[in-house]
Amino acid sequence: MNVLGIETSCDETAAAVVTASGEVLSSIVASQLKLHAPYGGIVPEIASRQHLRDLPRTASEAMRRAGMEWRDIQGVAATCGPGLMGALMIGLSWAKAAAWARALPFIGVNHLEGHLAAVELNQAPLPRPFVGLVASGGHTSLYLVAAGQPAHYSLLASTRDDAVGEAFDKVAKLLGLSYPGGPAIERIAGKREPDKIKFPQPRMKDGSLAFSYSGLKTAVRYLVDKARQRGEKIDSAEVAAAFQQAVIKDLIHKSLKAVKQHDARALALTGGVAANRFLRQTLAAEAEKISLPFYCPPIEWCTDNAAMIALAGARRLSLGERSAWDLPAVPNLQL
Amino acid sequence: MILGLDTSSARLSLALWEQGRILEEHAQFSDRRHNEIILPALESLLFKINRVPRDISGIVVGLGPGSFTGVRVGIATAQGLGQSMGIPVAGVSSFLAVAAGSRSNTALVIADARQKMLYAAFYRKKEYGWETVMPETLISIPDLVKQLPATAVNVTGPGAQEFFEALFRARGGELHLLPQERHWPGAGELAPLGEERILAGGMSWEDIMPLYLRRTQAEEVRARRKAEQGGA
Repeated sequence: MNVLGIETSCDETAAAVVTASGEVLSSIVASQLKLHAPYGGIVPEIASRQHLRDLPRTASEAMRRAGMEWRDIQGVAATCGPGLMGALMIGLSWAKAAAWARALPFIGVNHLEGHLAAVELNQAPLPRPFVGLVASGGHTSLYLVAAGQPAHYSLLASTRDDAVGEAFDKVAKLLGLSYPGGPAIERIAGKREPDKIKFPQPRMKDGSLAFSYSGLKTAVRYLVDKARQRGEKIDSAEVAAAFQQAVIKDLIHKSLKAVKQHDARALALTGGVAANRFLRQTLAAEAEKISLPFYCPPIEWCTDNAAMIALAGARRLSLGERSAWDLPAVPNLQL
Repeated sequence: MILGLDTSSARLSLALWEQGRILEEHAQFSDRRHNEIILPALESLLFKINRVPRDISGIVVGLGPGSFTGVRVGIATAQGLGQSMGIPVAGVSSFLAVAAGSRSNTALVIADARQKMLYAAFYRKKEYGWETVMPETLISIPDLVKQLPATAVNVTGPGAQEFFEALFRARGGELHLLPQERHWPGAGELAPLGEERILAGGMSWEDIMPLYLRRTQAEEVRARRKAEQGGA
């Protein structure tokens, strides 16, 4: 079964053709990063305008690279949430119309289920149950993925305030670094000693796995403000290194705690923040210490893409699941 | 058979057009829910006349001006239908469709553009078709009044009901409000307006974009800031 996947939930216009077993035949992503960079964050109306402009050629390119005609496609999947309302609406409208016109089965896909499916693109399925950490600009969530048709997802923890990628963006702004903040902080932190400054570890009083990064962000702001009042120059690289370490330590601590609590047989890392090399490497090393199978997809499938949507959709379509033609976009869709 | 489709106003409009006539049409008020009702409505429209999707040989979609998200839903739907069936698509001003359905010799078409502004266009009937006297513009009521001819003007469009009184006061007369059922962009008017383009092979995707008429708020703020810095 070849499934065409469409993703327009945020600032990437993406289309891909994937088989139900997870083989990626094509995956095209038109990134809007440069368009939003001058604003220091994603501007929803600019994103929507660009999606509409980029989607037709992104979709045809995905078909062409896969060497497919429409008659070779057996199903269509599109992200229906969570994400930006206006942005979601474009991919969803396009995909529903295309599937309807070709009398193809259609399914709306939860973007987070897509991120969790990404770890199994071009890859043997992970042993179940596994813990999946989705870390991105919009999400910081831990899921337990249990065996089942379709897989059974339990949300173990999510963020109480800022998503981790958002925290990186805000701290980068405080330090006068460019958008997006993740790569900027990673770059400037480099190999700097991260222990010169001690930031509080963002732990929940109730011992829960929930994430919270606003306290850490406030600590950075306090540091920057205090230095400014004293007329001192802050060492941005030092602050970046300490902040990055505090965040990553927290992500790792909670991921491993979740694995232990639920007797998980593997750990997966996905989402745009997985592009952080320090996070990938440290998490891999910590997992190895306890002989826990760890998997993180290539960066192109960690960040938003349509291959993951196509796979998550293909799995549901092959079980006979269908979405109705009146399926709405749901900006705060839960998994 | 050409499919006409307009989602620029609160009223979704669909029409199937063939050989100079409307085969079947459907209109429905569905504020912000066009994305949900468009395909079920199209399906029942085809069912009524015993046709199937592949009988559609071209699509004419309304480009607004109007609700940005609304117009985009219509265009994305037209793109998806057009690309998957390999049929031509053309975009036409939704305001021109309103004028074409106005049954009058002049039509001032207006819609709410928020922030005390209107989208407006002014058309005059010719022997064949319509002359665009003032193309789709983002304009304030006082500025619009200055643009209008001295002769009587017929007011229509999705914003006509709401803004007629303010417009009348500003101009001090010489304005007629057309009946409300003619205020909405109709797909039955869109289809023939875009037919020629369809027969010529349709338009490129880059050209089938909404008539936004204004930059995004973020772009406005940034441009203003730049201008201020430049002036300082």
